[in-house]
Amino acid sequence: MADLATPTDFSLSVSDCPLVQIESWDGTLEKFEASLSQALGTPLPALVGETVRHAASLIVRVAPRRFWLISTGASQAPSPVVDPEMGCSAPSAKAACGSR
Amino acid sequence: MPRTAAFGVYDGNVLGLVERDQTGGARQILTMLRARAIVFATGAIERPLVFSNNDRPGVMLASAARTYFNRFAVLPGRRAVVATTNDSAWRTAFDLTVAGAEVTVADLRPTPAPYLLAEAARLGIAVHTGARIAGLRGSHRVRSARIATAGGQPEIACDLVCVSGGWSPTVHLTSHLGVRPTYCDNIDGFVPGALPTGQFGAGANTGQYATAEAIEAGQRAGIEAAAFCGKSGRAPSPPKLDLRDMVSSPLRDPAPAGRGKAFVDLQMDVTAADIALAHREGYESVEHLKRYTTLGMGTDQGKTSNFAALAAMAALRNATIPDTGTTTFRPPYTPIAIGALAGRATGHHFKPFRRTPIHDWHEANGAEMLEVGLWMRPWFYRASGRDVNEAYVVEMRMVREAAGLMDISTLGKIDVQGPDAATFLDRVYANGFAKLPVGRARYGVMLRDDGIVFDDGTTTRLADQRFFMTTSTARAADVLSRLEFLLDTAWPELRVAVTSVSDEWAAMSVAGPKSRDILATAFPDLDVSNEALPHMGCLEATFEGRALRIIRLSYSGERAYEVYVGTTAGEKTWTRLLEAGAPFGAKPYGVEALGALRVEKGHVAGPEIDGRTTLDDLGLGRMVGKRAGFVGDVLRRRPAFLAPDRQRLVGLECAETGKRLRGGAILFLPNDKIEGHGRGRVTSISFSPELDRYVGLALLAGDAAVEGSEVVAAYPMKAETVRARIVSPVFLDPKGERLHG
Repeated sequence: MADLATPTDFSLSVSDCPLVQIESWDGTLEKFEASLSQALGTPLPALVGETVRHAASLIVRVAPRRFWLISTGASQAPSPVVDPEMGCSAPSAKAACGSR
Repeated sequence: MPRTAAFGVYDGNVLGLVERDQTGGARQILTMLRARAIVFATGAIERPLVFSNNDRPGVMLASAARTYFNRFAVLPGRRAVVATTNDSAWRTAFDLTVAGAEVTVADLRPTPAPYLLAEAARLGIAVHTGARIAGLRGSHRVRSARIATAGGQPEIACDLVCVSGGWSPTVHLTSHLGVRPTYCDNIDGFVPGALPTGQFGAGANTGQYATAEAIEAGQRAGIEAAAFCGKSGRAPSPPKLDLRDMVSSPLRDPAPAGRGKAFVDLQMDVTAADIALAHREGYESVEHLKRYTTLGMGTDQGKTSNFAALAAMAALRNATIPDTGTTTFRPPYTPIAIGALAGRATGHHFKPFRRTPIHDWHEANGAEMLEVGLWMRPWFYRASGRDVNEAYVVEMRMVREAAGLMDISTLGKIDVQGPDAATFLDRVYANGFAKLPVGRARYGVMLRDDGIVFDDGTTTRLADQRFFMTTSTARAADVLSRLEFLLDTAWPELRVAVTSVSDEWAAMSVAGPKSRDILATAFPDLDVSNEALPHMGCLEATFEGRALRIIRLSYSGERAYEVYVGTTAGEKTWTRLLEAGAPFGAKPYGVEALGALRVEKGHVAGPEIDGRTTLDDLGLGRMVGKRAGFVGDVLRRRPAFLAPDRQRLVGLECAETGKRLRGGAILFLPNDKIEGHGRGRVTSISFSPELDRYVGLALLAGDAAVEGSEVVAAYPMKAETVRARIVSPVFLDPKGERLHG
């Protein structure tokens, strides 16, 4: 556990964290998951909060119908094409915070 | 810290402490203490007994009677009946007897401990075992108690009845962070569940009622806590105590019988019959029972009543106490004055700062920063003037005559996309968006369900199924929540995703007649001509490898552009624009000038969109026309919202030379007596360099808002009154010619 009482050893770094948010519409989740899994070449995390590491990216299920694809190495996260009838994707650039 | 109670435990081992000062200073003093380790030695609270007429004056907890006598030297009665289910109340009987009272003990247990009986015999105390109080007589104070025993129901004259139904460990503090209490059979009560690392319990709080046992446990917990904090060294051994300790061997009091109300919660007047009624009505869960009967909602928050109620409900359900449940404990444990919590403004407490991507530049270049909500924003730049009043006028002139640069990264930004995105926006905005062409922006206003204006902003159509929405800084989180709520509950069939992209973009506004020249200089590869980028147009490109989005929008009333760029390129874009703008006389300006510019233009903002105004109040009703079906549409047409005397937006010009308007001033007609709430109020003011006088926006009763007539603006805080002329709220360029071309 971090010692919150004496934060002298604490440092914070911030850097760009390119990510793509992908979301399916209500009612199309099954087809969407199959399509996305095929496009990424890996099974998707099954439960909210689960993470799957694949190649140089992390796939996180952040909500029942919402995934984040986070690049861990390359400058850009993978950006699979999403059929607008099944869902949508939005590139984002959340700041990643690291603490020590 | 004497006279201090811990009232709450929060994340990170933070304790809330309240000190009750008796030295004539502050009544209560709040301390937030971050502890490395905590030892909970919070003791236990005595339970009353439930029997007929147990609310009569003269009935008190056995421990209360001992406190009166031992701490305050007050003998609370001369003829006492001590009714108990456990050992502890016997001490009260002994103390009262020694003080000269005539005492009778009624112990529910058939065979109390022999040493108790022996001591009672020595002191001449009458003892009834297997006995309980069946009822009391006396209305204004207790006169006698009827004792139910196996051999009959003797009536004992008394002026004091001391009761003890056992003890409840004080588990409130240990529960505040979610550690659920667990039921402990051997004490018939709840003790803290498994405590997290760094927290320890000792004494009656953990069910160790015997004094010697509690002292030993306290010393053990202290040593463990010290070791947890990295302290080492030899601790003295605990003293060997021979206190002939009194240990509770509990016996649950059965349900009361007899006439007269038997109170379970004396503060909220909840009786045993009320609990039986709740059970018959199906309110069996503890949480339902509380809400049905108001049990535990008094100032003691159920400290003395919860267990008796639980026991009564468990008996009615033929269930165990753990099956019946316990309630949730929340801070504060003890009442605290609001004044202690509010305190005086010192530092920033636990509030985080939000800084824009250009924050460091502002600080390094003479910006006086201002807290706006959680955000730090440039208030004004010291190069513009000696103080804010001087600076904002200079900055306004600069924007009107040349150009200025403003950091607007704090705006809420929401990505809205999906096949039904246009339909969705058509429903959440009062004005239409379905026909907005790709590459164009539109000002939009959202209403709440009750027809009151919720927020305003602009939305740009980036593609057929994709929009970029901006919200006010203050409402950014509220708007996103609202949109998600509507998609989840009202229209789940819409295929729309909304995502906050507020942190993805740095944003800056370039405003003024020279703004286009600055953009053309800063981004020579982009066509920012009026034809390529007209008013309310949008352009997308890249800058330094980052996405760049320029939307031609104006808040100031001048030709203006909002420049959005990837966050980490924010400062670079800002300095590029400043360098490009320098030959044109452009400099940065702060929020004070921004607010003043919008007042001149008659744009409404937070002071006008204050949670009480409608579209019509703000003069925006024409935006809606005959549209229907959007959020707030039905209730905005309520008769009360259409009343002729409803306050509506007007402009005010100061009509007296050498005087000024003030925000918050109350408006009266010239012949009105200056008292009360008047006919309206001034919401925003500014000195207008263009008009060389103070101007303002106000909300004024519709039947008094006649353009050209005068009102009196009274400002009681400074005992000022000033005459003001009612005019159009658009003080500058009413045709909008400065925006176009």
